[in-house]
Amino acid sequence: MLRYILRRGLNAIPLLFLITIITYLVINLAPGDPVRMFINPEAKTQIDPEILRAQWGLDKPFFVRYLIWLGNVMKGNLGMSFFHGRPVMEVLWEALPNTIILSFASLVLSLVVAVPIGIYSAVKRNSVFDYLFSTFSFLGVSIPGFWLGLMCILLFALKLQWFPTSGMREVYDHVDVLDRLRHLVLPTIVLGTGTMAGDMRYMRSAMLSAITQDFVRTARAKGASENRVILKHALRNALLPMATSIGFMIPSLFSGAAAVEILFAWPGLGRVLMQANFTRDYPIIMGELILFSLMVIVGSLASDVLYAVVDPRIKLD
Amino acid sequence: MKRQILAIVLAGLASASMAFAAGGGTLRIATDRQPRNLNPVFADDSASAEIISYVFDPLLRTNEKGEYEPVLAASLPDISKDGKTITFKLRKGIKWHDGVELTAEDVKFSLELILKKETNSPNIGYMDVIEKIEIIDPYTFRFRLADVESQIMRDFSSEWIVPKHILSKMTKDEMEKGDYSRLPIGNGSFKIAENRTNERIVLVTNNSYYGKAPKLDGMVSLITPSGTTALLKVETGEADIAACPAGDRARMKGNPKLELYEYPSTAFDFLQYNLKTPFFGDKRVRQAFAHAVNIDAIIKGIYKGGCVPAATSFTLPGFWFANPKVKPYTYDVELSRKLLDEAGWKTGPDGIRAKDGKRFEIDILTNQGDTSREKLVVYLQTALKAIGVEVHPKIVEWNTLFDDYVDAGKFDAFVSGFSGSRYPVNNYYKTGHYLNAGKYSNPHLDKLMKGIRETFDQKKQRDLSFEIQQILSDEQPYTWFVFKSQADAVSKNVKGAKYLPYRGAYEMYMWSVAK
Repeated sequence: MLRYILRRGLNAIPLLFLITIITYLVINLAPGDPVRMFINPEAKTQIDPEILRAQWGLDKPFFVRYLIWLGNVMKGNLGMSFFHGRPVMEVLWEALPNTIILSFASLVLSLVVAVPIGIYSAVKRNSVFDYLFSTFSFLGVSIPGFWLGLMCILLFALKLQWFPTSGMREVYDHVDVLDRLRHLVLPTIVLGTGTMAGDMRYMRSAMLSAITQDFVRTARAKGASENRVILKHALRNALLPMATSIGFMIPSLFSGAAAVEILFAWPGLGRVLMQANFTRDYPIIMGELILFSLMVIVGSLASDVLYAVVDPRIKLD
Repeated sequence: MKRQILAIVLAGLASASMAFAAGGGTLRIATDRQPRNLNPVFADDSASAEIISYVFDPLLRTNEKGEYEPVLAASLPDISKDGKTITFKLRKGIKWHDGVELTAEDVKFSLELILKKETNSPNIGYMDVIEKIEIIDPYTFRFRLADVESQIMRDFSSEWIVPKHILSKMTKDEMEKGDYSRLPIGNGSFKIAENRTNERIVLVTNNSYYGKAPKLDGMVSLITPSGTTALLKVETGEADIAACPAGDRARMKGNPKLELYEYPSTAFDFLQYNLKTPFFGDKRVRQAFAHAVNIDAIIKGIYKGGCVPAATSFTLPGFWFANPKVKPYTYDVELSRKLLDEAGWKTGPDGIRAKDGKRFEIDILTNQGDTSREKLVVYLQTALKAIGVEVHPKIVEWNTLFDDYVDAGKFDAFVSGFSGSRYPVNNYYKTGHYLNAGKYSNPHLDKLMKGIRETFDQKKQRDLSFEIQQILSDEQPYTWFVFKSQADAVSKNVKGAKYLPYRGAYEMYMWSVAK
């Protein structure tokens, strides 16, 4: 097992290199000069773009810049953000916990709703309930998060005044749990709904494939109650693919949070990345890409290991 | 560690001033902009400029007619006959937020810092014409200019004076990237107490402000990147003021809990021609285009009211150097057709004009994301068809627009926007300037613009400005559409709100928020 993990870890390194090269290539090919972002046509005088270019190392050829950046990353230095003028690590470190809180809450909400409904949909296949929730799933996947978020704000914050419209907190000098929770509700609902729909379908099909297995028929034949058959035997097998897919859900939650973070003024990674994209803030973009890539790689490794741990039939090698 | 100490000191200052608070409450602003750098020597984005205008004061300021008024200066400066010596007297008793008095030493230090090449300050403006600054006494200083540069007055109206006793101890990196760039010590009506990236900026009223006795306790800028959410915050009462986009104004006007303050802004939209194409080299063609645009219809239909038609962007309407005889072009389709005929563009059998075998078929571009401009290019397609010009509207992402089309000179015309100037100086028409993408060149105009800079005599500046506006209107290197209006939705709890045209919210420390 340990050998497997080590091997996967080593395989990840060239993968990371490849990802960084491709990303660096793509953002540099995109039109738009980061120095131009700093040239304000309405300003009285223009800063000397050449000095800024030299300061940021943009006067060097592409490959040299990449190698310099790579060298720094290996030393743990992600560079300075063009936009914020602060170390990338600092900016990301500040935003990370906020995104983790939101993603985690959304994940929990999503699973808490999706798993029971998925089970029930599978067991009561083709019933009214099943069709109802299938429809809801398709709606959930199709509705743009931004629009849903806006509707939530209009209803729950503006009309009913149950929750604040946006932001992460109103109490700053200490952690006020109630204040934080109030602010967490709406963004979590919006972000969770997006993934909930997909999770529901996934759970349903995992459950369906478990129920039609021979061992279920055997359990029934042995006289076990229907509840026991479903909730003990079938579910355990159905949860396997679900548990492992969590490994992939996490990075997708992180990146999917961008639109939600902007709408709800949530100071997380998604928002930082959007800002960086528009202002061509290369150091931040690269820093976040490394972070996300690492998360996907670790997530997929965790999935595989979890799979092997939970299912004795699987042998990793 | 240093940052913690600084934060504690500032919090202490903040609470101390809160203890003596004027009782006017705290104004919560929902803004969508994250300021980048609050050190006035280095700042150049509009979000930073806004916060800096609360925390720092300039020597002078222009009013709604563009006339100068003293702020940190005790009076308007004394300018020598040859225009090369400018003497200022500072008000006495102005204190930096840490209690130290502001003197001519601070002015000298700040100027020398900005003029240093390594600083690479975006705010040099015309100040590089200053050869020397002399300190006559702690409140009097004198600039000696290498040449006469009247527009240096513009630079005296922006905030760049920083505290010598604090910054002289810092390296350039510390000044630009350290705590001072996020929590600067200034001299204005507000002090900065807190600056949380992407969340909020807390300002506290400066109770030792030399101006009028403040009423407000403080302001909080809540950073809300979505403009829609920002407006909603005012509706729910989570914020007191937010910018209101044009599309939401009708809705806000009907809300009894809010007041909508609409005011003309300096931002204008216009059509830039590429004079190097076979189409737009002849000014009659440009004039024909201008006559084919129905500005009133555009204001009503596209901008939904509140705009001022722009004759040229050389001046803001109503300013002291605005030429009352230069008016926007009349909507006259017949005249357009006549001008095009005169320019040699004859209508072909398909209704589209042609000259020397070339059809009058052009692309008009604009940037994605600005609804008014997108609608404008589509409107132009119809309006110009009526005079026999075939237009293909093209909406392109901002960066692509400039990199691939405009800067490369590969365009026919594009709709864009800028800010009008409060001062009689503009670079967009200057021969060879990088903002002059259409390559308009009029050496006589260049000379007139230089002439304004070479005299401090306001009457002479005015006469030259009048002639410049006449030339610009006649030659139409651009066709100007409108100066757009801006609006803020303000909660009715806010008392004493003051708005000035072309400036917006004014003297906010005199406002108050009822509980």
